[in-house]
Amino acid sequence: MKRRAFTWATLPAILVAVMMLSPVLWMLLTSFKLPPDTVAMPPRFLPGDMAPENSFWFRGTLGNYRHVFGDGDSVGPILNSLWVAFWATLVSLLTGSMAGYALSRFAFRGVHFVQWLILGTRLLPPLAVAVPVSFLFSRVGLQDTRFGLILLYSALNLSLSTWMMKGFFDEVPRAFEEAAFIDGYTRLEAFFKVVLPQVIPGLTATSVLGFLGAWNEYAFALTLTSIDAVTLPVRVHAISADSSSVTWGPLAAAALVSILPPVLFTFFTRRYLLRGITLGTVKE
Amino acid sequence: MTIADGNGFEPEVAARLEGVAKTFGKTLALAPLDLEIRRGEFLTVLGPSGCGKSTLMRLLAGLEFPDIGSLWQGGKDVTRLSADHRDVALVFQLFTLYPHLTVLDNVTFPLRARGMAASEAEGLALHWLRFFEVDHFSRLKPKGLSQGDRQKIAMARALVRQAGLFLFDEPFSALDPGTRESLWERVRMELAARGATAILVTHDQTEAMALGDRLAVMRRGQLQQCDTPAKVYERPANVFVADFVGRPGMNLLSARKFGEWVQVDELAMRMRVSEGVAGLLKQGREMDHCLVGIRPEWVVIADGGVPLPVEHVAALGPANLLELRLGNGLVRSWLPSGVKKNRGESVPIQWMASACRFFDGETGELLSWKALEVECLPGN
Repeated sequence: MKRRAFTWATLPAILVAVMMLSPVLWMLLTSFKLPPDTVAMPPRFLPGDMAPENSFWFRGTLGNYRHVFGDGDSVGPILNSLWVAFWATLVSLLTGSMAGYALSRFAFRGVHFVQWLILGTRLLPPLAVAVPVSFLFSRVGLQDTRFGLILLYSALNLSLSTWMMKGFFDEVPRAFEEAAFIDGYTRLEAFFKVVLPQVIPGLTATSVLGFLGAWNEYAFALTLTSIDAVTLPVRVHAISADSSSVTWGPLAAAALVSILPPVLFTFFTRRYLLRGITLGTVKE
Repeated sequence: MTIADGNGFEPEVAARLEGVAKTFGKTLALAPLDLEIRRGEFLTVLGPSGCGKSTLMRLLAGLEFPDIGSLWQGGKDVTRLSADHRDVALVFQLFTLYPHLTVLDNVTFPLRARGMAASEAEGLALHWLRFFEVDHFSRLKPKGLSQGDRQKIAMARALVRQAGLFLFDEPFSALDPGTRESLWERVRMELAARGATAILVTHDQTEAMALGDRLAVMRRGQLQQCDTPAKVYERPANVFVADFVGRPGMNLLSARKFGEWVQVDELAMRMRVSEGVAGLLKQGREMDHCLVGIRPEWVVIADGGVPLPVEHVAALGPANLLELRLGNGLVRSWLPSGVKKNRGESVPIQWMASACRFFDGETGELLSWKALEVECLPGN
């Protein structure tokens, strides 16, 4: 591939990228620092084995990561987050795509009302229902369970996944399903064999957003979990409160670990993601 | 056995519509329709777009359900039966192949739905891909194939089945006429060899006439006429059919009736007619205005005919279409390709009594009148 020459027009883009990425860079560096280096002023930018008075260098350590994955009580929350985000994504994707398909294809009585009802749940600030949900969860024994979180996150994601998938299904001509009916398949078979494969970019885009939502959720997790089902965002915040002073090193390490899965997920699905987002704007 | 047995099963009838009608919202897509499709027949349905022919197709396929009336297929009432339970194969005009499947998987798709083993299905599919000379695409996805190749593959996907009824919704309309003709020739031969029943919906009247054992003409959701192409051409049921079937359509000349003579407006020619049985039954209503229909090939240039000025000559290859001015309208005729006529030149025309058809001036329906003689009036 031919490499593009630098043009001044890319300068603003570079500036914005630096601004967006600098906190991540700070996190990355801090996660390898010993406590004194984390708060040193001026900041120390490069790892190395230099004299402490040289303000540019700090001594690198993996201790923070050892803390996160070892004795720091963070492995459980990482697994909890992975488990909960995975199932919440899957459940909301499956139910959302079926609901979206129904809204796209069937002109049943009250279809518009149902559509706005589903969207309406999105208009509510999630925390508005935090107290009733918490009350409800403790009554039915879902407090501090991963299953409870999966249920809740699936429900929170459902409106988004339904609406997104409805849009993707609208783009698939009905003729394909009709051909499948004539070929001898039922509606459900046609859905799985003919319609769903054609909205894979849409499924990917929807699942990325669903995964991010469930992975990053903090407020509900904070109120609904205490020991067994604590998720990574809650744990990351708790690290800072583990001791009397803020332990920046372990905090940065845990935070970095917490952004890794969504980054990887998005990276590997970026091809579909882009197609999913542009679907409907570009016709074949 | 050709007569209906106790269950009403008629082996010679592949499909039957009884008073089937369909509306979409407030639009009438199909007025109550009775139609019988015989086993082994190739029926073509002809009409301009929006005439209800596609609705008819979708009703037969089970993609839509009639508001009223009943639908029978192979002796079974299928009125409320969904598409996957009907024994029907359909080729659409567009979006014919599944984009996520290879060409081969596309063709085996209907076979796999019926539980055929993969190897057997692939063998059959390859046979039909070879039949349409598209087997070299079998491992490719449809994206990137030409429209023509896609339609051939779609046709292979239909023919791979032994369906009780084959439905074609202008499957080859995107292809050039030469390819279309040769494809139809092969498809038709194959269907005839199987004794299969097929319905083709088209707005191309040449295709409809050439392919159909019978031709159904539709307009605004209403069946106008259903008969052999020759009958439809020779005795169109009304002025719409007369004009729509045949290229160019029938000349329709405004005329008046005086006693037993019909006088064409602004033309020094009159015809003596017998009204046949209808005339004997007539209850006093005197038909005044009527239309005389005559096919261009029956309008002949002959000495002693009525002279008309040439408006335009269109070269169409084997013959030239001659357009003559008559009042505000035109009379069309054919000129052998060697003969030259100039615009404004006067040409004497005439026709035989047996070639004339008469239509009601108000309803446009074909009348049972017969022309007995044609008289060119002198001194024009």
